[in-house]
Amino acid sequence: MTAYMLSIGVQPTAGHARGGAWLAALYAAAARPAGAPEESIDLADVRRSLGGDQEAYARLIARYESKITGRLWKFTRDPQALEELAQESFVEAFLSLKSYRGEGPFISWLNRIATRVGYRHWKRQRQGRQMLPLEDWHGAVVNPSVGDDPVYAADQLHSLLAQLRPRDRLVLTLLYWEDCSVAEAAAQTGWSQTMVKVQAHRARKRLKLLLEKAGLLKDEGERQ
Amino acid sequence: MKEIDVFREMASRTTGDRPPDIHVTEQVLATLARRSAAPTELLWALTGASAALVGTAATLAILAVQAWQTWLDPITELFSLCYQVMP
Repeated sequence: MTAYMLSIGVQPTAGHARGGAWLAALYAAAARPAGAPEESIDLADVRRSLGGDQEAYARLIARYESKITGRLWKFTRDPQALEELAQESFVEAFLSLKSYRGEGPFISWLNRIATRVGYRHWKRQRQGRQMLPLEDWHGAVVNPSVGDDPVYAADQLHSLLAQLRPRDRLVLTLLYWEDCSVAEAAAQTGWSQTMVKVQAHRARKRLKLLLEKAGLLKDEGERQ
Repeated sequence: MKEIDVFREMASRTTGDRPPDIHVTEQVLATLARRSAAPTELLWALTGASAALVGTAATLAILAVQAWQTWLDPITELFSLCYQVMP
């Protein structure tokens, strides 16, 4: 710890040497002071980070890592992969930090990066993925005792979405799981709003086929 | 029930599902420190590769000269002999 802190220009103190104390101090410093506008604090830390102050960037990470892991948890169920994706997101964010102008909340800008990192992860995972039998999803939905467990429900939803192409999965996740608007989804993905709508239409058609195949979607005639 | 209603129902059941509590600050800073050190390492790697390349080229040149000398003398002698034999 001390060696890498010296290498990045951070002067270790006695607190740093104790490891946990350094992190505790960092998280205390990362917390937003009462009444202070979040955006101005973030922008100040971004500017300090660009000036070479690594502790400022550490504060930004500490402030937003729980939100970013929350977003990335929609992209993976594996804690190890989650940690790697979170690291990748913050490294990528640091390398693009100059492009943050403070025109919107820092978390929105970070979320865009995390979404793209997660999407790349899906594309990498696309080949050689394991598919769960369709009957398992049916069980989760029709069996209320199992369906009440949010962890199990999330596992099932991920399994269902994994059957779709990454583009379909992304648009469904953002629009119907994260409840983003079309404009927000467009900002997160870097697509145009028209593209988001077209992609959503296609994704819904494929989702419908998938749900029908799994027996989760009864057609109109069957229900009457 | 529409496909999106089924999807939303499934998604609503995931409320309460939380990611594990992970902290990546140290790893991110370490990665960034390694990246900033990378150009120096790259320079040293390139210098080493260049030195190895120059050494290999010099060795090959010496071997080529030696081979040339080994074969040149007999060929020259053969030509001079042919020249003498020619009417």
